[in-house]
Amino acid sequence: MPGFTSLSNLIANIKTSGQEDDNTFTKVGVATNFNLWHSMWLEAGNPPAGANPATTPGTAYTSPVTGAINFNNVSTAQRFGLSLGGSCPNILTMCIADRLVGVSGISVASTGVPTVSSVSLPRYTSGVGVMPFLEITTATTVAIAVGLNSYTNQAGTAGQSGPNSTAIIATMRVGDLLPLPIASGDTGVQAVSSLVVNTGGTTGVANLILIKPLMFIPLPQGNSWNERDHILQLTALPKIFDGACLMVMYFSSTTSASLLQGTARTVYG
Amino acid sequence: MAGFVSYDDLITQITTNSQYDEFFSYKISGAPILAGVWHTTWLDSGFTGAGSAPATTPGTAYDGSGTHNNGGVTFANVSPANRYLLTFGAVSTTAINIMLVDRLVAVSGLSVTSTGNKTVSSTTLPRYTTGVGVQPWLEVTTAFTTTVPIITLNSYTNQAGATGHTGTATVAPSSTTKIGDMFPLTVAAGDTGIQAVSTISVGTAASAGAVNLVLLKPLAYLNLAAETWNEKDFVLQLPSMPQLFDTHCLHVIWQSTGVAAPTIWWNIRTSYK
Repeated sequence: MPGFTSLSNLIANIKTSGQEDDNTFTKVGVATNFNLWHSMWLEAGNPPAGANPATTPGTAYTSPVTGAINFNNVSTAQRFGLSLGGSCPNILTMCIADRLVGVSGISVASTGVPTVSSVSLPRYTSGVGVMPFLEITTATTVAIAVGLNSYTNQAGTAGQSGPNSTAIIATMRVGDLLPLPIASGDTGVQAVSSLVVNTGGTTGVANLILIKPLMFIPLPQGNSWNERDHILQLTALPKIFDGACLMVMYFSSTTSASLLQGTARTVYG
Repeated sequence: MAGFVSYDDLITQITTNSQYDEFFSYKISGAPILAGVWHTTWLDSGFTGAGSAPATTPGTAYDGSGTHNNGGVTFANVSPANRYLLTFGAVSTTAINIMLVDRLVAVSGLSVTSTGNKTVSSTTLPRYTTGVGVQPWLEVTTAFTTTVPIITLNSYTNQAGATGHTGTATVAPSSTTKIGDMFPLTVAAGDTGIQAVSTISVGTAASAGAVNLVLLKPLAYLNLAAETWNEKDFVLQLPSMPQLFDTHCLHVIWQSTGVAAPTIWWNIRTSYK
């Protein structure tokens, strides 16, 4: 049976069976805005920059994918996150998320109802906990206001709509993320049919992405390594599914570019 | 027997039996009137969406039936197993304290624009039915104007089932307390909680203002520096493992250090056996 029967068994899987994988990454960030989440998917480093997804119906991500922190599939075993650590010149909060679906080429420059028609989720297929964001690929010049015009929720109910999300700044930069709120009663998204741009950005293009955040860590001091254990320090052991397309995002406290280095350790059994 | 017999057992339930659930949420909250004031996220949009207004007297019990839990986070029932909170983490755009609460009962439409007793007659608690640790708060739904209201729990049933208890007067945070601001009402000496509220008394009235009476159970707390994730573990760091009873309705309330409106991102992990 997959998983671990005890802490000792988990340690045995690491030390005796060698069923531990880690992945050290470096991403060369670009200038951003602060007080929002920022995606490093499009930014250079190791792993290298990811490509923009396809236009509608988009791309369903199943690793290995260029741009992702890739781990091998281990089915019928299961892989879990052991720790996440990192360092950065800037103070920020880092998150590792499973990038599930992306749809590119969505103009937010002017009002309208852009079609998304996103492809099916490759993991977390119920949609519970799956969050929709806009990932800016061409900067805006006016604070955009965008909502989910029609989406399918975690129960498979189509035609749901969410309230507006207004950008906190006019000049959303490439990589900045705009969260799209969901309707009352919903707990996730299976697919997005269309958006509604209620205030256009004069300029601006975005990817619609569906992601599942998995691990978080604060980097509260510049150039000072911080690391969290997900067994004894935080009893979490987040599951990392086969094919997971792990991306780095961060919640910024500055507009400076961030050279972000980190490591993610995993175990399977 | 429900519950974990050892740390090894907990690891087994999480990894082998997949008896683990987590949820990452955010709320785009409103601006409080003053630093130090508590503020609800129940009414705010985000992931999950905005909660519905509770019913007028006798109010709404957040018991997982119908759609009234919609503004909160509710994991599936696991009885006869028990579900426990493993971790609570969050980041906010401004420095705040946040409190994870189980929203139990709320009664809407309580005006504070005239003095005298206001009927609440709150419905029965769906969880924590003894009332021990259950706290009464007011959640502002129409902003106050002109005068600072003074409000008292005029008649309530305490944790021992004794009716007709009266608290001490509570002065609202401001004459212009905003929508979403919250403030707690005080109980009588010797009481440790509340089963139900019969009436509240408005001793000094505002020119405008209405509130929800909310009965809630605090579960976990975090202090957040602006833009900096903080996370607590309740197994080994703070060995408490708060239990999340079936039909729980979780959301966060927050205490400001300024008057800016934050967006709050928070995550909870749970396991059950």
